[in-house]
Amino acid sequence: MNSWALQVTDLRKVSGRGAVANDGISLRVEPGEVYGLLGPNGAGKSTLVKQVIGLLRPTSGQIALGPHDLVAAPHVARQLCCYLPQAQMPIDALRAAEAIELGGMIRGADRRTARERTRELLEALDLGEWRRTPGARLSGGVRRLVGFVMVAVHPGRVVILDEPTNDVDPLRRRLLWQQGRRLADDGSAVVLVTHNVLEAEKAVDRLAIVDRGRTWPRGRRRRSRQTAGTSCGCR
Amino acid sequence: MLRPDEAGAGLVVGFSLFMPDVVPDRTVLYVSTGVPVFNLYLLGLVVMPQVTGEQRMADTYDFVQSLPVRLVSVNHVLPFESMAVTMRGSLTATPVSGVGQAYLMLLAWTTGCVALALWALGRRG
Repeated sequence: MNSWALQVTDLRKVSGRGAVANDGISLRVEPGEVYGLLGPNGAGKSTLVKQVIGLLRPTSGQIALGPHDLVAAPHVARQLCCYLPQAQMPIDALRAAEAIELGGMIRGADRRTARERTRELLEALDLGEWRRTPGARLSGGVRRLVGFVMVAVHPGRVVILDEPTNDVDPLRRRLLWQQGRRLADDGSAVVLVTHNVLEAEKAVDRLAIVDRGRTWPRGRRRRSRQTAGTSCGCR
Repeated sequence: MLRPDEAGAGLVVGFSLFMPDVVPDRTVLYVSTGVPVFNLYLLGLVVMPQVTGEQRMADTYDFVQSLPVRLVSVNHVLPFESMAVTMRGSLTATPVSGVGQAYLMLLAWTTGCVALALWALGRRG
């Protein structure tokens, strides 16, 4: 067992009006693996990751990353977890490369490393032509990819990608999965949140199916294809 | 929309064009520096919660909040986030958490500011 695994235990989140968003979710994500959270819209996936990164406080349950209790110390989650939200990044006033370098430096990379890594990732995702384009002029898909690069430029122990391929064309979608895999190979635990069964099938090592705030039987990719088909696709 | 810094610079330059050779030095000083600062302050009180509220509704604020900023906890005691939460709560039909706490925070700030103003007036006699 690796000591930097993300461990969620019996997590429960009830909103002020009594709606149960997460109902006893438990999962473990090891460094070096891409873990999928698959489920329909409104299943509680985003609520789960917002608790992991300290944006929401759980009603009960534990979240641990290595030796750290992230419920008791959400500021540690901000240092150790990188998060790509579902919404577009607020980069209207910055050029793509500037936004990425700035993201890396805020996370602790020095300027030189951030610049080199930015160039490397922009080339890997075939985004070179938009390098100097202001964020406000980027198309939705390119902006999404720039958001991914902002997260990947200086990744933490855990990288959480909330539906990263929305609006992205199929070719670059494949490039993005490759880079997600590379983040895992470099030692991060990658959590991929999606409602797309095909994406989960191609990009993840293991997955949990989240529905109505609970996780359903999970397993490795081949087994989960069948599970996903019955649990999500046919609902 | 005009950014606060642009508005401030415009005020400093623009006012001086209106009054080329008037008034005592002290008034000129007040008009060219005090008024813009006061305007920026009021503008900030309106714009900051509005922008924050918009970003929260669009979920882009999540990314900003997830960054490892050392002084992020300061934001919880400043009034701007509370202003944004109450604004968001009044504008959206979906449930917004922390509205009661935000009103308490604003009440505390209002009380503190009123007390400070009374103290300042008292010192002037």
